Amino acid sequence: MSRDEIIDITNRFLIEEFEVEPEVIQPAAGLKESLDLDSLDYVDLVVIIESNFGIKLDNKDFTDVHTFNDLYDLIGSKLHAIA
Amino acid sequence: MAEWEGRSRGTVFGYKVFIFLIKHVGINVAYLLLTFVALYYVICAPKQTKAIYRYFRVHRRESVFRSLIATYRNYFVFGQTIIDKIAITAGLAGKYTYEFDGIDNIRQLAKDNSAGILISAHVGNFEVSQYFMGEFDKQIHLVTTDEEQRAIKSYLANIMAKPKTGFIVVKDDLSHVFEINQVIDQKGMICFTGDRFVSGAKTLTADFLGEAARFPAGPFLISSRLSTPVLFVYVMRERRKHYHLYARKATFDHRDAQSLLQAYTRSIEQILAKYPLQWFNYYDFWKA
Repeated sequence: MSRDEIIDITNRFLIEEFEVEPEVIQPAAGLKESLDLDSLDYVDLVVIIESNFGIKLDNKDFTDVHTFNDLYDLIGSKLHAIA
Repeated sequence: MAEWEGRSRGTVFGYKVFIFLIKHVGINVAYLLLTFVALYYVICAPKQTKAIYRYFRVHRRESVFRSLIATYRNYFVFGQTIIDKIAITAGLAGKYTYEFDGIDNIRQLAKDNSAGILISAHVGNFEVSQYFMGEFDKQIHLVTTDEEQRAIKSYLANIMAKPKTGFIVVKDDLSHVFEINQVIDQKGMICFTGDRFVSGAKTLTADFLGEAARFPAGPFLISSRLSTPVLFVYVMRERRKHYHLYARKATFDHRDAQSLLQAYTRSIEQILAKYPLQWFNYYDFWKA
């Protein structure tokens, strides 16, 4: 899957699930602030990513995820690992 | 502060005294000591006393006198639930009787090849439910924010049999996210308490006992989005060391957290109408 496809799919479900406007999602913007995530929202986020991409995430994966770009990178690396 | 401050009152020393009494003297003697302890809390915990008094006076529309008496009795019953929890965990479950209302709902959830979500509240004594549900294979994982009381929990863990309920503590490092996710993956049962939130948490508002109140958004958002059954579960204390477990199937629109919250508030209102003394949120719940 190309990076553009990952971005497209990710942005689509973030807009739908977290009810944000498309312009809120900017690659360098903070994920937590832009989506207004609280500690339990991350459960939704992880469940949605796993079910949309068929990957498994764990605690360590999210340590360095701060921006949307970080999230796309994480999904890309996980998809690459299982390819 | 409107929201819960994130810690529960009580000390390890207090627990030690009660555990000594329960183990060496008897449960009823521990209840007797409670008559003084409850009075101590009425006088020495003014913020908490004011909040509970307001619950009876404003939200249950009791007279001043009845509200004062009910406030004292509320502390007393709360103390009884803690004593019962310790006694049951320490192996004295046989001293108690119990009955189920809606047990088929939990049986079905335990049998289903899917995860299940239970939503409870700080009413009654949910933490003892594990001892009444031993017949089920699925462990209940209680999501809690009560991190600051680790000292008490760790002390209790040292002296008691291994608890069957797993605790998932909500932390800044997001480890809880993966613990919850793992339970869902393994088709386990997650239990949220839907009535408390800490600073920074997103909230939803609903009418509750005649006044708007805020509730944590997380449990309702997660529960409404996942395609898993949701039950409202309460374990209420009755007279003579008797417990009554209620499990009600939640009816709500898929992906509509607000409709799930409304079903929840109606459900708590119904349970509190039957057990008005067992409301155990010792802070100003309705303050916006």
